Amino acid sequence: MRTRMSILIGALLLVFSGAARAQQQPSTAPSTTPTATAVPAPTTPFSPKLGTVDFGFRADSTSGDRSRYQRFRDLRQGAYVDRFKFDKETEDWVFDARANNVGYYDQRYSASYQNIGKLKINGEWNQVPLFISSSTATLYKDTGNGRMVIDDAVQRSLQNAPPTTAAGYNGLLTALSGADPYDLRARRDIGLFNLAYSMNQAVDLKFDVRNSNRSGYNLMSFGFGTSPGLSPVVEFNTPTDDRTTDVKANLEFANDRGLLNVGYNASWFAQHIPTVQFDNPLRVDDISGGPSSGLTPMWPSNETFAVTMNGSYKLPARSRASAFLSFGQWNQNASLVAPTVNSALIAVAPPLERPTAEAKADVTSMVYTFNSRPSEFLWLNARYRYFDYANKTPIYDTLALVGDWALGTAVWESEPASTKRKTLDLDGQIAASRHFDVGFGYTREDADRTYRIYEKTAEDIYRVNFDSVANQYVTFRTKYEHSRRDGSGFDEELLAEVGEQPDTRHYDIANRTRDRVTATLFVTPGKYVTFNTSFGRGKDEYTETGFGLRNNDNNTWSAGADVAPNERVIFGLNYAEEKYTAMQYSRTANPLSATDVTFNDPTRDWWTDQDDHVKTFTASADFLKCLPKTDIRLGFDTSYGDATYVYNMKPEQKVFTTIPLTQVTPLKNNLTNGRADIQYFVRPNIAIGATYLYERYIVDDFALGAQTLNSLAPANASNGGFASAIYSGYLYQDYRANTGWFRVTFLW
Amino acid sequence: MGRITRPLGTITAAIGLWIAVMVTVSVSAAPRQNNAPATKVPEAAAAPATPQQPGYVGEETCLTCHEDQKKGYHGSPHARTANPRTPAAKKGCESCHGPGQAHVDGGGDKTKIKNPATMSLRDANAACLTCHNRTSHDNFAGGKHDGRNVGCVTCHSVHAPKSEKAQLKTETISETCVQCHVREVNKVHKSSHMPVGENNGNKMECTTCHNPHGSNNVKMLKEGTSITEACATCHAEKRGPFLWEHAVGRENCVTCHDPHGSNNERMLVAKLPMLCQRCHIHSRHPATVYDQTQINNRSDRAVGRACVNCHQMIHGSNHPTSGKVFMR
Repeated sequence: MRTRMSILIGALLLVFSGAARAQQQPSTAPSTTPTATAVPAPTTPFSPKLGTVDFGFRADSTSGDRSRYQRFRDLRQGAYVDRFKFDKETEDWVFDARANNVGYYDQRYSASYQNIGKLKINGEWNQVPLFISSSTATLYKDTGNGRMVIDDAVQRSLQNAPPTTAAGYNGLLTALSGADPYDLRARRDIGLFNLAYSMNQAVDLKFDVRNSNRSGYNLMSFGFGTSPGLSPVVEFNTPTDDRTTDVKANLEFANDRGLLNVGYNASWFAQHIPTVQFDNPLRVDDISGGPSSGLTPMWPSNETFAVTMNGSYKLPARSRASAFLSFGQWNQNASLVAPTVNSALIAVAPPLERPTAEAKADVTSMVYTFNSRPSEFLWLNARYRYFDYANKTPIYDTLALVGDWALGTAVWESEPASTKRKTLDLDGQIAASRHFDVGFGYTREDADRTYRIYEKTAEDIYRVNFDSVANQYVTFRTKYEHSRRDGSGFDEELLAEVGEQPDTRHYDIANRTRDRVTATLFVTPGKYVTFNTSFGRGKDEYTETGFGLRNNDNNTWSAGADVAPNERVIFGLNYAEEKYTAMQYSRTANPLSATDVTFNDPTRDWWTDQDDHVKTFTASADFLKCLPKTDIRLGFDTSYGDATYVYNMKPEQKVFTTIPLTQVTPLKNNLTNGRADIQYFVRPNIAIGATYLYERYIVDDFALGAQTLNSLAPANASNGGFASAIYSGYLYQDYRANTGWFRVTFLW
Repeated sequence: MGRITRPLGTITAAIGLWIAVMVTVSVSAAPRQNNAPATKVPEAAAAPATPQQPGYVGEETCLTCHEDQKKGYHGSPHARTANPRTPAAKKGCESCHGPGQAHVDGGGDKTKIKNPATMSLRDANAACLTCHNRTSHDNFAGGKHDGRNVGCVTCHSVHAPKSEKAQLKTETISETCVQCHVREVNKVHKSSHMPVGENNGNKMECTTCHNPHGSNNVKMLKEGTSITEACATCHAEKRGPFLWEHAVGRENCVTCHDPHGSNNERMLVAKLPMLCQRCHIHSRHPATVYDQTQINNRSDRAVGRACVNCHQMIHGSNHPTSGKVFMR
C-alpha cells in the first residue's frame, strides 16, 4: 500500500532497531545479522537503545508541476542528513532525540525525557511546507504590511486604453507578459511542549503548549466591484503571517474506581497582517465607478477559552458512568476596516456601525455515558451529547456596498448563526454464541438552528450490526443503518430575501432518508496468509427537495491479501473501487416581477448528474535478509479517478435553445507512485542503501487545466476583450518525478 | 429569527450531576489513597517478581517456561519497574494474566491462566483498562470501537509489537487503521489530501485528528466537541466568529470538505461551481449551466476556482459591507 511504501525508510529504522536488538540476543539472532559482539551486553533488564543516522545525497529529476509533487515535502537535490535518532535509557529515566531532513523545509526535531513514573517532558519543532505552485506570476510587488503594489505606469496605461477594446486588451496582454514569476508557497513552523507530572500514584498534572506560525503566501482572489472592465477580479499571492498558540492544563485523578479531570484550554490566533491593500491593475485614479486599489481584512485575530470537567465512575455489574462538561467562549473583536478605500466613494460610504467586530459565542458541551456488561452475553451503552454554539454577536446593519464600486440602497443585516444539538445514542449487543454478536442501536438527534431555512431538524437512526470476531480463521463485521431526518419551522422568507427558489433545500439539513450497509471480511486460512474484502453501499434521498441536491449514492468495495510465508518475505496487495453518484436540480431565472415570471417557469429547469469513480491499487513486497545482509522493499500504488458532471434538461426547455449545450470534459486524476529500497549492511553498524521513488501525476481538469488557463490569463480572452478576471497561473498540471536517495546509515 | 439562549436549567442540572459524580468518586477513592501511600510504591517496584499474594508465582517462575514472551515485553513501557503504574511494578506477568499458581500446579494447563489472545475481547479490554484508565482511554468503553468488537488486542500486541510507539501490531498507525478503514485511508492517495503518509508520518497521522480509544467529540475526533472545533485546531484562522457568517460552514466543515482527501481543489466534496449550486439556486445571480462553452469563454464563474474567484472569504468575513457576500 502507498501508505506503507511512503514510510519504507522509517520502517527500515525499525528493522535496524530490531536487527540490532537481535544482535544482543545471540540465541535468537539470524545468522545473517551482525554479531552480538558489536554491541555491549546489557547490564540491566532493558536493552540499551540505539542511535542511528542517515546521511547521503538526494538526486532528483522532475518534469512538470514540481510544486504539486513536493506539496508537503522538500525533495530538493543535495546532501542530506535524516533519521537521526538517539536513545538513552536506564531503569529510572529515558531520553530520546530525533531529527529529520535537517536543514530542509520539512525538517523536524524532537526530544523527550522521562523520569520514569514521575515526569515526562516532550519538545518538538516541526516545519511543514506547502508548495502550492511554481507556474504563478504576478504584477504585484509586496512592499510589506499587506500592501501589494502595481507599477503606476502599468495601471495608467491600462486606464488610458481600457482592455475592453481590442487595443486595450493587447495592452493588458503586454502588461501581463511582464509579470514576475514566483514560487507560491507557505509553511508552518509548529513548536510543541508537553509536560506530564505524576504527583503520586493517582494524580497527574499535564501542561501542553503548541505554537504554530504560518508564513509565506497564499492564493487568494478579490474583486473591486461588478462592472466589467472596470472592476476585475484579481488572483494573486496574498501575504500570510499569523500565529496560533494553544495552551492546555489538566489536573487528573484516576484510580481503579474512577477518574476526575479538570482542565483549562485556551487558544489564541494572532493575525500579523490584519489587512491587505491591493492595487487595481486597470486603474490608477479613483472614480466612483472603480477604485485604484482595494482593501480586505484578512482572517481576524481571535481567541477561545474553555473549562472542562471529566469524570467517570465504576459501578457494579461491570458498569461505568461518565460525564464530560465543557464551558467555553469564542471571541473575535478585530477592528473593522473602512467599507472602501476608494477616495471617490469615501464621502458616501456607510459609516461603521461599530468600530470592532464584537463577535463572540458561548460554547457549551456535555457528554453523559452509561456503559454496562451485566453478563457475558449482554452489552449496553447509552450516551447523551449536548452541544450548544450560542452566537452572541450583535447584529450588524449596513447599506449595501459591493467591493469599491457602488453604494446600494438595500440594508444588509448580519446573521450570527447559532446551533444547538442534542443527541441520544442507545446501543445494545447480544452474544448469540461464542462466535457471533448481534447489535442493535438507535440514535435520536434534535438540532435547533438560527438563520437556516429549517429552525429545527430531528433525525432518527436505526442500526443493526452482526459481528463475528472470535474465530481464528474468519473475522466478519457488517452493519446496516437506516435513518430519517425531518425539518420543521421552515422559513421561506430566508430564501426569498436572497432571491432563491422557495423549493430550495440545503442538503446538510434537508429532509432525508438514508440507508447504509457496510461489511468487512478477513479470512486467515493459515498462519501466514490473510485475505480481506470489504463492501459498502449508501443511498441518500432528499425527499422534499425541489431545488438542490436531490440524491446521492455511494458504493465501495475492496479486496486484498497479505502473505508472509516466513519472517523474511512479506507481500501485500489491495484493490479498491469507490463510486459516487449524485443528482442536483436547478433553474435559470430572473427575480420575480410583474414583467418577468421566469422564476416560476419549469421549462427553465436543468439538472446535473455527477458520477465520480476512483480505483486504487496498492502492492508491496519486502525481502528482509533473503540475500545476505540485505533488505529489499518494493512498493507500488496507483489511484485513478474520473468524474463527470453531465447537464440535463427537459426537451421543452427554453433557456439554452440558441446555444447548443456542450458537456464539460470529464475530470481525470491519476497518481502513481513506485518505490524501491535496498539496504546492505557493510558492517554490523554501517549500512549503505539506495531508494528510488517514481511518481507520476496525470490530470485533466476542465477548470484549472493548462488547456483552459495556460498562462497568467485574463478571463474571456477568447472573446477578444477583457471581461472580469486576471488569474495568477495557478494550474493543475501533470508531473513525472524520479528521485533517488543514496545513503549511508550509521548505527551506534 | 431568534437567537438560541443558553439553557440555564440544563447547565445547572449538569453541574449538579457532575459535582455528585465527583464527590462520589472522591469519597470512594480517598480510603484507597490512604491504603496505598506513595511511599509504598517503590517497595512494590523493587520486587516485582516476588510472589506477593497467595496464588501468585512471580515473573521468574513464568519465564522458566515462557522465556520467548520476554522479547517484546522487556524493554517496553510495561516492563519499567520504576513506574509504579506498570505491570512490572505490580505483579509482573500476573498483572495481566492473573494468578499463575493453578496454571503452574496444573502443569501448564492453559485453562487455568488468562490469555488475552483467547479471552473475549471485552474481558481483555477490561484487563488493559485497569491501568489505562486515564482521560485518553476513558471513553473506550461504550465508544465506537468497543461497540463493534474492536478490542485492545485487535490493534496492539504486548509481546510482539511492530511499531516504534504504542505497541501496534503493524509498523505504522496507518497500516493499523487501513485494515478496517480502507476507504478513508485510500483517499490519501487522491490528489488533494493532508500531509498524511508523506514525510514518514512526521507531519500527520490518523491519530493527529482521531483518538481510536474514543473521545468526547463525534467521529472519535481528538480535539473539541464538534467537527468544526476539531478542524479549527489547525485552521484557527477560520474559527471566527465572524461579523458575517456562512452558516453551513459554521455548523460543519465536512458539508463541503472531505478531510480524508479528494480529487477536487482544497479537498472539496465536489467540483466548483457544482458544489455551490447544490444549495444556491439564485435568481439575482442566476444559476446557470456552466458547460464547455462557458469554459471555453473562460467565464470566471466556471474556470479557475469558479465561485471562489469572487467569493474568496466563503468561510466568513469581517469586512463591514462586502463581507455580506463573502467577497472581502
